[in-house]
Amino acid sequence: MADFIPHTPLETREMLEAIGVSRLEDLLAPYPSDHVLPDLSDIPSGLTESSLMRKMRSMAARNKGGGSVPIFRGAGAYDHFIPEAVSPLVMRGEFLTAYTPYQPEVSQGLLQVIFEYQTAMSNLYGMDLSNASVYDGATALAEACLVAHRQEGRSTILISDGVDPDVVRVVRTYVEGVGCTLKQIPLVSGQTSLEDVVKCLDGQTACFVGAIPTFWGTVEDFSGFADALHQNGSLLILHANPHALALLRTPGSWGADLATGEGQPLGIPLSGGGPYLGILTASRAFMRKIPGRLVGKTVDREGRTAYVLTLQAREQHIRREKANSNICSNETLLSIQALVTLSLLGPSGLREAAEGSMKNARKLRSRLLAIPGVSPVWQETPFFHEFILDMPMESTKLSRLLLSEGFLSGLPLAGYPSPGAESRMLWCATEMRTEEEIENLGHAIEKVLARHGGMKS
Amino acid sequence: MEKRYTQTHEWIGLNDDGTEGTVGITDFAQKEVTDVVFVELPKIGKKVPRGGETAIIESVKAAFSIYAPMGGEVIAGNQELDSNPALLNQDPLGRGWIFRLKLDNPGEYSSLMDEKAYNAYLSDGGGQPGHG
Amino acid sequence: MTIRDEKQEGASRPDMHPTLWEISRPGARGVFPPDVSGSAVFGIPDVSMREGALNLPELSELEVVRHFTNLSHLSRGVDTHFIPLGSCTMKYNPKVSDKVASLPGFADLHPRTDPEGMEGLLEAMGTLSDLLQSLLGMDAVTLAPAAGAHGELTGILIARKYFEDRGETSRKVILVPDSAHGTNPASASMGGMVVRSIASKPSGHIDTLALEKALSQETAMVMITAPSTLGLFEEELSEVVRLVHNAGALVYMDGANMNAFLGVLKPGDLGFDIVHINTHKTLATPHGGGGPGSGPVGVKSHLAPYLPTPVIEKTDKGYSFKSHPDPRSIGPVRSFLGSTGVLLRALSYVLLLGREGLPKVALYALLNANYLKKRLEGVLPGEGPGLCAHEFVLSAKPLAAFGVHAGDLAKGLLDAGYYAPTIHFPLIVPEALMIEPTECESKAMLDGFADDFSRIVERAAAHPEELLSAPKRTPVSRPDEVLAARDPVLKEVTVPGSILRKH
Repeated sequence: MADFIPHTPLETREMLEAIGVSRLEDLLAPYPSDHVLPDLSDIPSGLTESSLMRKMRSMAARNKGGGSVPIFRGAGAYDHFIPEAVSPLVMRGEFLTAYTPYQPEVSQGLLQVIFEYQTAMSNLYGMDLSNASVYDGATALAEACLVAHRQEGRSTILISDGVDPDVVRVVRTYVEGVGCTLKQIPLVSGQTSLEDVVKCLDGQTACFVGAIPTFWGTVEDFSGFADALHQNGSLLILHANPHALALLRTPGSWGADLATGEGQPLGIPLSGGGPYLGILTASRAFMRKIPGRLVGKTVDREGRTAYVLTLQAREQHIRREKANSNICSNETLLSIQALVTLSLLGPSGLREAAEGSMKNARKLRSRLLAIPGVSPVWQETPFFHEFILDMPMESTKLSRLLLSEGFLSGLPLAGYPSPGAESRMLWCATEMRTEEEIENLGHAIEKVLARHGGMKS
Repeated sequence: MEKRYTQTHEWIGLNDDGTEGTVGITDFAQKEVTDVVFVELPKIGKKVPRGGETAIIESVKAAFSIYAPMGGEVIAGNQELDSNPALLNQDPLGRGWIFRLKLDNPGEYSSLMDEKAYNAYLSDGGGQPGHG
Repeated sequence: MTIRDEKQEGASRPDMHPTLWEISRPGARGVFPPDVSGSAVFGIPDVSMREGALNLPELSELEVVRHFTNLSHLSRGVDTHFIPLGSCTMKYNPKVSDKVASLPGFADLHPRTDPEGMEGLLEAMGTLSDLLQSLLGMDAVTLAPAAGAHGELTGILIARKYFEDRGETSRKVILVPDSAHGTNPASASMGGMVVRSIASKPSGHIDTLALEKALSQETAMVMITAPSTLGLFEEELSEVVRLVHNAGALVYMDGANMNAFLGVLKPGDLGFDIVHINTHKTLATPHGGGGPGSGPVGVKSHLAPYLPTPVIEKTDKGYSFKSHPDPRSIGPVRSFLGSTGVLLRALSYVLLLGREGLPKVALYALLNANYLKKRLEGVLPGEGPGLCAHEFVLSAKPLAAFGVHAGDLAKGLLDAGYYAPTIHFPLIVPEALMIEPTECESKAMLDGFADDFSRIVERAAAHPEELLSAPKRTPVSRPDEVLAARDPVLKEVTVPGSILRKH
């Protein structure tokens, strides 16, 4: 019913006349006449705004979002606190409906915000610089691996089993395209062993990738990794949750050459999986090697501070097939969202949120371990806000049953590589969970186990 | 130093015994490129065929490949360009040299254009530096 | 080496805005996260804990709100200005679509929710897939790619896998016309393929003779932008498709310009094997200052097994994730299902317009482009008197004699209250200005733009110095891009609160 076309019938007539044709359809003359104006009968009639909202509300109501079920699931996407001021600022039309800031004189606001985002990410990751974003955490890591590959043409990528298996699959799609191979390094009690990495190093090793924290929630000690890799001419890449970096040691401090992450935990709604934010940071040596847009500070002709897109000669619109990447559109709006969130929280707020997550995760773990049949997989391994437990029921079934009880449980690890297993779940609690929700979840699990026998099926 | 020129606007000058060559871009080329912001120097030891892409120079809006006028092995890059790429604009035929080659076949030199031939080539329309 | 000319006027420009770090006041607090009680002993060894302070700004909520609100005033969006950027399709982004994406149930849905808990999202995504399948005339669609270039990479990987499966491993060459977007050759390289450029005819059309010569047993795919980046429909498209298919290769359509076809022409009917569509262009999802985009890809049935995972399928019980994806799939190209927040907006747009509204998009996009082209006839040389599609290209070459270039005209347009057209693209047109008005601009806006554009070109010849010092009415004058690139400053290094100490 809507078409967002402003023309009155009279205006349309005048315009057609000026062009020298009589009907709108005459404008299709350059197109092949046997295919124009195809049958669209399989497309429904247009809706009014109100009937669209009714239809979409009823679809939305068939989803179990965080508003209707407390979320005890993370595994790469997290239910963190998002201040109410974030959305109105990010949704301002000057940001939301702007194009890429190719004309700097009328894009200073956008450019400054991106520059500030680059600063915030550099500081959070402890790295020299950050680009303006890529699609998501998985593609950020894939791009970083490609930087390592291009460095010397080396083709083996060592990747810890601590990295999200689904992220690894995306990296595989990307790097196998250019002839690289992935070699996975297994975890020992939730930790990557430096010895195992060193054993794999050879003249073809482009890089090693580790995670902060691991997909399984554990926090690793990467002491000695950077030195061992650099001696072999290989790079250290760390894939880190930016929220966790409020408390955990930074990739830069571990000596990483490149560091990536999924920016969703920084104030970006879960949104069923996207759009999210790919964070890509690097040490200065890789400034001209990384993909994606970069904003730099300079001066205008009158000496006033000004911001511009810079080092564009790396990019596809200039270097075409020799570009560092094909990326063009990125996730600028989400980078603004992350920056606004960080500004509102400040360093103290971010630290408190991260600590709140860790406190809740520990409360959750104690409560779940109090349930007969629930047992830990690792006893002493340090963890951030996620942990895996053995559950006394097949995990996919337990997850489904708890969903119908009104909880999004830990992630069922059936089908996941080790330490994943049919009976295991990856649990998460953020600062958003309450003691009441944790207690209610405990009761619900006990009820479900009692009703369904609590046997591993 | 006497120089010889390519159709892609590089120059090369030989050392005394004719075994090594110093390579840069011509004044015409630096004007076409406009302000050079970065020079990607080749790795020492890199072997390049005649006409092979050896270095890249970047302006704000473009990247240009620099081809070896003669085949050889890279024995030096002009490190001064790292901190001061503007040298390429200010003194393209002198301090703005880009790399040195140990030549495979010094005989290739005579097949390149001399200054007169290059100037004639330029006034003939001489083409533009290729986009990298 | 910046030369600062103190005499230039500049007093009328507002001061630049200090950065978050410059206004940061150590100790200031904005919003507090939820209060969680409990022990702060976490059992993580010191070696793995962050050392030193976290250098983020410290501000009150009001300070943060003012900072970003004031910065927004220094940027232009579709909501504030006409943005005639060619090949970017800067149309109106309906507010109702934003609302849909923010609904509880969509916005707060965890991507790893069990399928039983995301039936509504699966239905939305399945429905959009079906609608796109129909509009593109393809047999299967993936919604996963996060942008147009990401869709291209997906298409390249699909082609690669397809030929590997057929044992035609020598097919590694992707042919790309020299008028193509830079993403085409870059995507092909990224997919491990070899790129060969084919020269266009002076008219901008594909040279079928050159194409025929370039095709071989090594050709995997030819990437074609339709309509072309010059805003022209390939006059010999059916011949091009026939030649490529006869050579055993695939034909890819870069759908960046799909706004010219929406509802009036289906790429599948033209013989394309793969096509991507940019929802942030054709389907009115906001550009967000550079992203997020979304680049769904449609393929013909012989390529459907290769689509990236996850795959949504329609069963008698509705839409669900395909539990056993085809082993021939190229694998996932990003995390999770797709940029669903963007895709929901695209779905809303298609549902609002429906079968009556969708063809009007292309028809009015053509009307606006052809009308504006007519209005600018004779102002600068273009591609001739014939009909264009949704955009057209002018050349500022005649102004070079006055020292004025396409970029200078762009700056003049900024002063006149517009965003600039796309400049210096396509590469095959010297001093190119590519103009795309979209269907959303009114006749009054186009008339005003045409008048201003003509006036600027006239002044360029008479008083080139005026244009060379433009823009004058913008927050800053032209930034020194050479300085920025020679010695890049990519982050704020100011000590927190430094601006306060200045006063």
